Amino acid sequence: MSKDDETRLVVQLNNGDTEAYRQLLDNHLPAVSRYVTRMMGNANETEDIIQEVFFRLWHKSGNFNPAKARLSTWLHQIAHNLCIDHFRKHQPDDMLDPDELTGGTEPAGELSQRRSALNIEQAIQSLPERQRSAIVMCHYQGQSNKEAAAILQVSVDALESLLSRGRKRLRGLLEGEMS
Amino acid sequence: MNLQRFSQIINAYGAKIESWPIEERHEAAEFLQRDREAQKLIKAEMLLDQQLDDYSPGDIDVSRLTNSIVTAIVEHTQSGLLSELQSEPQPKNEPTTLSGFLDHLLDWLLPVEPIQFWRPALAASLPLIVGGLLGMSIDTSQFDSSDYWEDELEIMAIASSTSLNEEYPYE
Repeated sequence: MSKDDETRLVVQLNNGDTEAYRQLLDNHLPAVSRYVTRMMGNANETEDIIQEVFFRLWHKSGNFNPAKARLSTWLHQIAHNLCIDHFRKHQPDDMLDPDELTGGTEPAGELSQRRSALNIEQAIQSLPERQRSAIVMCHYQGQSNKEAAAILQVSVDALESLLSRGRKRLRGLLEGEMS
Repeated sequence: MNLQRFSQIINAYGAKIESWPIEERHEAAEFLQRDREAQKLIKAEMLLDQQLDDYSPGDIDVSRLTNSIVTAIVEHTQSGLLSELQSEPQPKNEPTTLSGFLDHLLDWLLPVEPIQFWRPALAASLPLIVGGLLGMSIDTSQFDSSDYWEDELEIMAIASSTSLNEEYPYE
C-alpha cells in the first residue's frame, strides 16, 4: 500500500469509515501481532494488547500525522508503549524450564529443536525491555534504524547501543547452543 | 568505512546486509569483501542471526482477531450513538393539566438553581396578598349597623318571653 493510499484511508477513518478501518487493519495487524507476540512471549495478554493498539487506531487516528511518520511506525510505537506498561504492572510469569521438557513419543531431533527454541525464547524474554524491543524491531520486523529509533524515541546512536548490548547478552546466554 | 565502524554495524544489526543502515550498506558490503578481519568477525554474528531466525513464536489467528476487533468497534460505535441519543436534552413540555400547572408554578417559585431569594419570599407572602385582595373586594355598604342592633334586641326579647312561659307551662 502506497503512502498516499494510506493517508487517504486515514482521512476516511477520521470520518468514521469502517471499511477504511478494515483495510488498515488487514494491512497492519499481522506485523503488529508478530511484534507484540515476540515482545510478550506466551503472556495471556498478548491479544488484549494487539486489540488495544487497533482500538486506539480507531479512537485516536486524529492524533496521527502522516507528514511526520508512517502509520506502521505510529502503531508500533503504541504497541511498544503498551508492552512496556504491561511489563511494569506485571511480574513476568515463571517460564517453562527447557530441562523440564520430556520427550514422550517425540523424536529426539524434534525435542532438541523445541528445547533450542525455548532457550532462544527465554534468552529473548530475559533481555531488558528496550533491548528486546530494539532487536525485535530490527531483526524480526524489518524496521529501518531510523524507524526503530523513532518508535523507541531515542537517537540512532542510542538504538545501536541498545542493539549491541542486547545481541552481546544473547550471545552470552546462547553460548552453549552455539557451540 | 573502517574495521571499527564495520564492527559496530554488525554488532548492532547482525550479519544480514539488508539490516544494515541504508546509507552505509554499500560501503560496508565492499569493506567486507576486501577485509579478512571483517570476514572473521561476521561469522559469529551469522550464527546468532541463524538462531534468532529459528525461533518463531506461536501464530496468532489474524483473521479471527480482525473480526473480533471490527465487531467490538461496530458495537462500540452503535452503543455510543445510542447513548448520545439518550443523553440529548428532551424538549420541555408545557403544562397542560392543573397539576402540571401547579408543578410549573412551584418550580418557578422555588427554583433549584440558581437561588433567587425574592421568589420564596413572594411565595410566603402570597396568602397575605390574596386575603387583602379578597377583603377589599367585598362591598360592606349593604349592611346597616343600626338595623343589625335592632334585630339583636328583638331576638333577645322573644327569647326572654319564651323562657318565662316555659317556667309556668300550665297557667
